[in-house]
Amino acid sequence: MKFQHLLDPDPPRPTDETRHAVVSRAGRLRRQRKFARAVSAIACSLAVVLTLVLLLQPSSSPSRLFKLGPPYRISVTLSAKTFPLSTYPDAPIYPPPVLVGASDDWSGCPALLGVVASVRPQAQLVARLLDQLGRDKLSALKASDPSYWPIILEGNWARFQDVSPGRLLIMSAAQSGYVSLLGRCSPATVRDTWVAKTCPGPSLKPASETCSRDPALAGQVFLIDRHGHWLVDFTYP
Amino acid sequence: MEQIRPDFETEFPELHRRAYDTAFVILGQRTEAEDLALEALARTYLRWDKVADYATPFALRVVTNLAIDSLRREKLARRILPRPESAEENPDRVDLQRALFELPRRQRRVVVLRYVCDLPESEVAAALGCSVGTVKSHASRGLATLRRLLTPVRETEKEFR
Repeated sequence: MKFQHLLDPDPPRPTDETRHAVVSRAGRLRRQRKFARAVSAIACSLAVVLTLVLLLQPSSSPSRLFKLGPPYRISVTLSAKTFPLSTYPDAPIYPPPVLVGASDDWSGCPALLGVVASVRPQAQLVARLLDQLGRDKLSALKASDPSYWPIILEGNWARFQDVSPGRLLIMSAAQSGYVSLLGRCSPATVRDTWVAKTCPGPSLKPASETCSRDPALAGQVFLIDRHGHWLVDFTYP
Repeated sequence: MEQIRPDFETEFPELHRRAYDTAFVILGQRTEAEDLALEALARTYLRWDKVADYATPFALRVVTNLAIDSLRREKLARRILPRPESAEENPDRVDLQRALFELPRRQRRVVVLRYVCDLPESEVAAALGCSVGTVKSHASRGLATLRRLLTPVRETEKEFR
């Protein structure tokens, strides 16, 4: 041995007791391994069962946030000019908008029915809502307040797709600097509306920096909370 | 109580001696070395049917791994609770322990089995489940690293030449 000088000068001699200690340890190890194998087999079986259960579950239901309870049908198909209130579905989440003024220009404000002065929405939630808004017409209708529907039905609605939560700045409408876009809507509407700014990206720089550097590239999404459902009621541009 | 298998019984004294020596060279603590030797032999006994043909290399590989693990735990513990100043350590052993930590895992195993346990290359290869060529290359690289790390030049290094 190359490390002879590091050896124990008086090593212990193996006795019968040592032998039996080895065999007894081996027995204990064997029992431990059997137990571990049994636990592992049970865990694997449970994992398989759980996976099957999850796979076989119907996956058609959307996330809870957007679940409407009964399957409300949204079947408005008219243009902005002819958008009679009678065509709106009878759903508490989608009350007909408040029409302000009567002209060819759409000037609907979200009805305050069921709107709550909610806390600031989380960026992840807004990102999901924007994703839904950008999918297709029906998804966009479900994700928005009826005051925004005429714009969707004309096909001109804004699609903020693949916006990551990190690129969003969320503030109250009054803080956003775009409060004037709510036009003739009531002060209560302004108070209960949140604005999510979509800042240019992807970038390593923080959203606030890219938004202030390129304000023209930022989008504004106006949101209200009705009965716990966040809805887009206006977008700019 | 389970009866000890006769073939294991025959090899037991030599296996025990070598396992204990290896653990002691690495750790330098009698109680710990004895405990690890017992544990390694118990694991060898458990797999006796498979490893009977190369029981010594197998047991030494197990005891090496256990000793390195123990050393690692001790090193971690020392960060939290420093060793008392009164404790004496052989400086060669301290160097060896430090050097073993510096080596990559594979090289460390080869170096310990080849130069601490003094196993021939063929047995190291059998213990690690690799070719003799691999053992040679790991041993050569590991040795070069050890030479660099075990400074100043000590008697142990001369023996490598």
